[in-house]
Amino acid sequence: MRTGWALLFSVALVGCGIVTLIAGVDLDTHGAIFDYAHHSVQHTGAVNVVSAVLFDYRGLDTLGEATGVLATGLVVAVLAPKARTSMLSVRLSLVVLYGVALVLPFVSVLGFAVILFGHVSPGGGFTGGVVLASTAVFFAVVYTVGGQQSYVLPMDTQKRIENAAIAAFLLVGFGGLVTGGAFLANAATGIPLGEPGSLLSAGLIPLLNLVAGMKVGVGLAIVVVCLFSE
Amino acid sequence: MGAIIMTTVLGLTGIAIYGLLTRRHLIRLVICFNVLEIAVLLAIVYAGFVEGGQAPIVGGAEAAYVSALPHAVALTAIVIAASSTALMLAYVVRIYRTRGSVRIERVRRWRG
Repeated sequence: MRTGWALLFSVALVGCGIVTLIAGVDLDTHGAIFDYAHHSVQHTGAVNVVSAVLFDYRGLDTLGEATGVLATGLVVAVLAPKARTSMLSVRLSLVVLYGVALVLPFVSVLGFAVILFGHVSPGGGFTGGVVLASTAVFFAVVYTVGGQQSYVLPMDTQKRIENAAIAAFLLVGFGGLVTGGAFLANAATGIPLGEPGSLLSAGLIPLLNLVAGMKVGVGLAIVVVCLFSE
Repeated sequence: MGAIIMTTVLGLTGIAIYGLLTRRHLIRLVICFNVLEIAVLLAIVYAGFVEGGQAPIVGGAEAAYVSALPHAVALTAIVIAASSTALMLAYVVRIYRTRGSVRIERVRRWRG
């Protein structure tokens, strides 16, 4: 009975969507959207338009997003505070141990490269941060021996980096407010935008990329490692 | 192209809503939430699609680019989706610890 109603409801919902589409409601709104691609280089100096939107035009939203990750890290750390793991008591073979040791440095370098070149190529702070967090996950999975958790960085250091990163983000934001007249102002602060496409360009965007990368990398590492330890 | 993507979006939405209404296993509910999030992300990214547009990395020559705003919104949404999934899983672990089950009908005081 309940299943029947649920099925009916889902089918009706999808049907409404199909009717909307067939009725020709135009979901394409490209014309109405501000054309970021043809203004971002001039406004922000960033070649990667997504980075320009994230850290310049919509910087405040990105701050909210980073705060969300911070809150998640806090709550998960409160809910799952154990230091010993019950999940990861499997003994891995020597091949896995040495293979991961071989791969880890390259993955870390990739993470930092994605973060540092975020404004000139695909990538950015969030993407690179997730790559960095994956090194922590590798480490926690492979080098946890006998239920004793192992970290790339000690937990306290990780939390300190996370707090410092969010503080740096806020600092940059208020710096923009003081010198440029708007929270997270970039070009308005008078910072040189540099040659578009070079590593030192786009004003404050690389700095915010680095901060967001640290923030997301450490935050996700804390979340995953805390969930492992249950 | 658009028809395929919107069909996928609607299909995923239907599957996720049906699962959310009928499943009673908390982990499966979390999975249904994730499927719903993927459907929404696909719709958001498609909203910025431009026929023949390139990825929004500005090159030398004038070209048509897909809109970058939905990409940025999707990036934000992915991070928040990952965070909310982690939170849900942490609560599921907690519920399993305290109530002894992750099935809704076996968790006491939740009947209704």
